[in-house]
Amino acid sequence: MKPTSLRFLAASSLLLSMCAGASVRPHYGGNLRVMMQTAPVSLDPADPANSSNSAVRNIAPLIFDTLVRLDDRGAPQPALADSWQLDPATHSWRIHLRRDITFTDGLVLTPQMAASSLLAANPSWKVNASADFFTVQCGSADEIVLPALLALPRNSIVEHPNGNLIGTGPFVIANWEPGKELALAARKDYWDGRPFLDSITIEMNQSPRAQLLAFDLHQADMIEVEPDQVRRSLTEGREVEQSKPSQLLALVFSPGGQSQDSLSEDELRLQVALAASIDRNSLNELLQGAGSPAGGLLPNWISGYEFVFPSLLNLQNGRQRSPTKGLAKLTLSYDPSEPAMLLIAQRIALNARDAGITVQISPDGTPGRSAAAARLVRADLISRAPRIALRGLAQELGMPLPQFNNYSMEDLYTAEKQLLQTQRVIPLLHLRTAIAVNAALHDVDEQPDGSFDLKNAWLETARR
Amino acid sequence: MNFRQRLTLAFSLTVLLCITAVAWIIFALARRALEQANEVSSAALIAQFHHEFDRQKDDVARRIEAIAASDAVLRIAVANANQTDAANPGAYLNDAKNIAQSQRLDFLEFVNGEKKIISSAQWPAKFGYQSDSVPAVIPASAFLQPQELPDGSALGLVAVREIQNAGQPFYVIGGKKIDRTFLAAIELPAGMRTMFYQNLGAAFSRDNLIDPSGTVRNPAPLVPLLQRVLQRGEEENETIHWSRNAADDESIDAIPLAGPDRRVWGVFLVGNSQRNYVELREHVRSAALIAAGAGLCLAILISGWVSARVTRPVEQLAETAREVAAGHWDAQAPVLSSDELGDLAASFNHMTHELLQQKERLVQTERVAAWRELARRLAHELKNPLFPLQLTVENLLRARAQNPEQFEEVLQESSSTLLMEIANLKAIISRFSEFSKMPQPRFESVQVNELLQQAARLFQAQLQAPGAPAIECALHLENSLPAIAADPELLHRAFSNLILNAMDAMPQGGTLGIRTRATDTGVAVEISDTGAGITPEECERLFTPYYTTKAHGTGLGLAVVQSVVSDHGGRIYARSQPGQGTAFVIELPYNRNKLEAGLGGSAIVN
Repeated sequence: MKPTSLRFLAASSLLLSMCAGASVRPHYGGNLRVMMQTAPVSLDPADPANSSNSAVRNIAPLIFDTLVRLDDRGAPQPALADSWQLDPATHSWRIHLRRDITFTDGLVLTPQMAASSLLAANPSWKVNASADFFTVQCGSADEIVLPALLALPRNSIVEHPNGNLIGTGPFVIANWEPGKELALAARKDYWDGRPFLDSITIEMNQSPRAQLLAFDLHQADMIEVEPDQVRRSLTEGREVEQSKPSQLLALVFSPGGQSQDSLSEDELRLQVALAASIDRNSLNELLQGAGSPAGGLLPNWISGYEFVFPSLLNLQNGRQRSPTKGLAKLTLSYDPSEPAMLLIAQRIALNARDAGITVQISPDGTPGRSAAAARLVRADLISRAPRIALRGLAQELGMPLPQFNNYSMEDLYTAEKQLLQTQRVIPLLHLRTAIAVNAALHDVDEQPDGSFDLKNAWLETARR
Repeated sequence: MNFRQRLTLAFSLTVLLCITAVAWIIFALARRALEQANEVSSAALIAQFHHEFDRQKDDVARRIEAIAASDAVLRIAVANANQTDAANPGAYLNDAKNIAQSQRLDFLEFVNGEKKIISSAQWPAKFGYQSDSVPAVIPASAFLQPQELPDGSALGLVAVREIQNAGQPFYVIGGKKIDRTFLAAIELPAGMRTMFYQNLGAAFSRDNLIDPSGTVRNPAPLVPLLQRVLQRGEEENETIHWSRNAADDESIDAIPLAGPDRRVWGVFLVGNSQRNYVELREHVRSAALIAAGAGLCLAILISGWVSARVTRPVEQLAETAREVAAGHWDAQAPVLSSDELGDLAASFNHMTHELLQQKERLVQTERVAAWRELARRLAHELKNPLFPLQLTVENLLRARAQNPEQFEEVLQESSSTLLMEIANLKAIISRFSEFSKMPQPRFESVQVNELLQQAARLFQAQLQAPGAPAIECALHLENSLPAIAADPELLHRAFSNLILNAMDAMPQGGTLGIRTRATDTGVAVEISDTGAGITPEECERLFTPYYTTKAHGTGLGLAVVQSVVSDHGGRIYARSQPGQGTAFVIELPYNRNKLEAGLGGSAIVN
């Protein structure tokens, strides 16, 4: 080969490699259009109404920062706080803030501001601020999990000057129509670097069908995808990103009769028989494989021991444990706004019939119920920290809050096992959350807990 | 009721019967025609239902055939045969539902050779479960089959098609639900409706009876009919009475619908409201009644007119007869027609003419006879005094010739005899003169009892005269006898004559009875004796002038009495039986009009 040819080849290769690199290199600018089904009326992460709102869980990190972040394993990592230490003598956590953090109005974040923000979200805590740090005493139950708690969106650092909401996050609120639309603008002076996107427009209260339609018409760049629509979306050529299992689908029993606290013996027998007769794999098939059969409350990727809880069909056991015919009746309610829940309920009724249990299906809010009643509940994992997630599930499913003694897996397992032994809940599936993203949208960070991080997202063809 | 009224009534009843018969016939014919129209309408709807049902069966079979032949289903069948989706049994979760929606089917299931459901439109969550919808022998056409649903069961018109793929059967089972939408699709004439009973479950359930608006509100009256049809499996008809109002009645045709196993899975009910029929029947009845009423009125009017025309000649004939009876012998009945009534009137006129002539002849005969009787009586009366006169004059002539010396003495004796006989002749002439000069009565208020008492007192001395036969006078006078208008002098003379006759009739003595009583029109006076009595023939002739049963009577006494009574507007008759005496009864009217006309006195008659 001649030297000229070699030089031409080398130049061509360099040019091609530069072109290739340019196509994947992030671009600044552009407006990201997002659609979601939920419609929060408040963006305040400390608002109790938003505690289990996945929308706020996704939106809050765009506007506000937390003191710590959790890594993929659920371990706390520095964010606004650069260090934290537990003082065993005083049972208080001393937290030091990162320096030169500013709110969107230019105010510098101080330990007093952080302390007052935490106190507003957690009135039971004792928070004291000094010039360089602040201390938090949260009681023995939360003491060992405090750093993970600080990573929850509700513990974001928020200021309320003149009744407005401001934070230290990468975006600032440009327009807010509660329950309808939120427009965010990028902060160029964000302490962790300017986001690539210039702005984000979030349209709320959009049905899954409307979201799919808008996405296919290129009127939205990112939409939510219902679990049972994932397979269809993939076969129809949409780019779908799924989280790890981040929701628990469970049957939650309500005591009937006089007792409001514990299930009667017949109800316990009914619960056991029903739990054994449910074919979870079929339920997962109903949702097009969007989840995995659940035996425990926490998914295996968080707890690491979920497989020890039984989740397989055992119809014979179900038939044997079923109460006498007259008592083998159950009212099963579901959220009628989610069509897939009706299918799940119908399948459970079919499975229950095989075990000799009569299940009457009714939408939520239907008056009248039989002696035993259960409800199909879909609960979010609010944190990738297992203990926080377990506590959140217990709270949302109406179970007693678990107690933790140490950081060991055995302690976590014991707490979860104790919750399951209350027999108030039959775990059915762990569901993944999914989003469909425009092919031009890159680096959307789908978190294992189902939330998505748009701080580093960018649009291939910038829109203004 | 007179003849005209009877005739009118007869005519009216005849016309009424005719109208009633015609109205009833019209009503019966109209009713039958309406019933036939009703039956035809029901039969048409039943035929329409059968046609619609067959069309729906064909439609379902066609759609299932098309689905079974579609690429999408063939792909599912092939994948199933190749076990491609064995690890993903829910892969076709919504396929049946989507295809069913596109084909507008209520049921659709894909079932593999193991009879497991691959996909179900009506119960998507049932995939993997055993299907009981595949019949042992697959019919070519659609058939009735109950389908299990998440919230119960429903009856469907179902077709099944089998796809053979590499020796593996694959079944497509689908159809339409027979529900209120199905019923609403059947076009109905006004007043008709459809219902459907789904024979699901072991026992009869009223909730399974539906109509296009939903569940039938009051199915109780239909239950016996449904149970009979379910039991017998044959079409039946029954009229259902929903209320006491006949207009609410409904004729129900029940059509059993069986599946391939001959079991009756449903009963189609065709209801035909009787409201229009009943209302029309009522209208016909009302019209018939109005026509009958109008006809009756018309019949009465026409009958009255016809009766008047028919009876007028009869009435005129009767009036003429009354005039003739009143003495107007020249009265003539008008001859208005040439029919039988005209002949009757002409015959009547002829009869009166003949009677008049006969009467005139009779009068002349009687007049001659009366004159003869008068002459006979006059000759008899005059002959008695004339004979002594003749003997006396002959005796005078004989005395003057034979004994002139005794002539003077004989003259004296003969003169007295002559004068006596001449006086006797004058008396006879005077009585005849009085009879001929009977005066007209002068009416005034009279107490008849008082007149009778005066007459009785007048004859009291004669009755009680010594040597005379003993006659007892018995007065039986009614106390409250009303006064009448009469001439007291004439009545007194009449009563005296009758009393005198009674006394003459009892030469051996007896009882003179005088009795009064009030009648409806006046007073009655009875004067009786207990003498020998008279024969019926004598009774008839008693009041003939110059007739007497006495040796020296003139025969004018009772004639005078009858004349007086007749002048007062009354009547007199005699009752007698031989050996038991005779009673004369005088009936006198009140004669109030005589006083009001000023013909009598001023006394007021009670």
